[in-house]
Amino acid sequence: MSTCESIREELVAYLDGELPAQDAASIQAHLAACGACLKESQALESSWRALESLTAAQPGAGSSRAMALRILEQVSCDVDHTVAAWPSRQILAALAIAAAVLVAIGVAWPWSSASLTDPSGGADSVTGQVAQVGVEAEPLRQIAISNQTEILEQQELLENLEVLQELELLVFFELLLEADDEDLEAS
Amino acid sequence: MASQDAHNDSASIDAGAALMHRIQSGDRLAFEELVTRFHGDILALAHRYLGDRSLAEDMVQETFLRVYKARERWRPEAAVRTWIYRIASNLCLSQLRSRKRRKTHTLGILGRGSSQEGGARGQGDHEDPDAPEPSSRLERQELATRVRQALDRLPETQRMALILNKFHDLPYAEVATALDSSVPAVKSLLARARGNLKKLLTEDTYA
Repeated sequence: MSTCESIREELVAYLDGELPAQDAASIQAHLAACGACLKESQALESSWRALESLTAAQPGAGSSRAMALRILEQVSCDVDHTVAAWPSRQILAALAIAAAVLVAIGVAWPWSSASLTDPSGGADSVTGQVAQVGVEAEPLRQIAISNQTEILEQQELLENLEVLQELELLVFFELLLEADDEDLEAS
Repeated sequence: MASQDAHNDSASIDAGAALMHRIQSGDRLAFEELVTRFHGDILALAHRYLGDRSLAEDMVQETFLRVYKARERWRPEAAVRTWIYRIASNLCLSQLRSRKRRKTHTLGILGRGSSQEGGARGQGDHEDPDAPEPSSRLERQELATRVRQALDRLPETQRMALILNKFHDLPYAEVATALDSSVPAVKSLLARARGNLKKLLTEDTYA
């Protein structure tokens, strides 16, 4: 049989209708037989009803729409300020071209600079080795040059991307694209 | 009747989700509709919780601002109503905590301060046009003051759980979602809240 203590632990959930039917029936049966628990249950219900004296404000007519518009305006201003904090689009375009030129120079540099690691140097050592075993050297030399150049290109590209990220230009490009999307939607 | 309620709830959930989808696709009108739909509930929640209309209105605006900013993060698995209650509850809890910190600080400076905070003064409250006759209105006001004081003495989370459950008909599972908690924890929280409320109102009666 249920004790009063265990009943009282479940009493609020019972009053809130949150107990499974079997448990609720068990508490109902206990309340029918136990005056003290019934009194406790009534006191809980009474204080629960007292809460209804607590009135709450209601929105004034038209205030919901006005608030929604204020919020949309505020969010729109926030976006404008974010974009305004960046340079103008013309400056950005110039920066983008400059960045592209830098990337192109970075990619082309290994080919033109004699001081830079020369892929043909590594390739020469390959051809030297294959000459010793009497194999046609030139095709292998070309493959070695091609592979080493590709590795250098990848390294240069990664370095240039890091520079762009440090300058936060990539984030800015994304912002611009978003702004363009919004302009399109607005129009 | 119960199935009719369930049908209405389900329709309401679908309507909320449809609004959120439209907001996510950039429909500003849908945001206005969402605010109109939930403004009353959130204002009532904040007002009952904080006991101050102007503060409550600030909370409501901040709630919908956050809803709009977080619109891309909403997922259909989350009921819109519960999601908005969650944002509002967090804001109200933070507001109350910071107000308590300020109050403690002020009392520390002034010594024994007056109990001006948290009463039912309801700064800026409007008169209810359907108010009862003066004598019964006075009784109701006295009762409301006592209830307000009792509610203000409850721990913050118990108070919020009580209001969500009592006035907004949130079942335990939804209260748990709104408070980022579990159903057993909410069950225990509400049992303590109801016990405390009964005790506080009884003490007040015989004080």
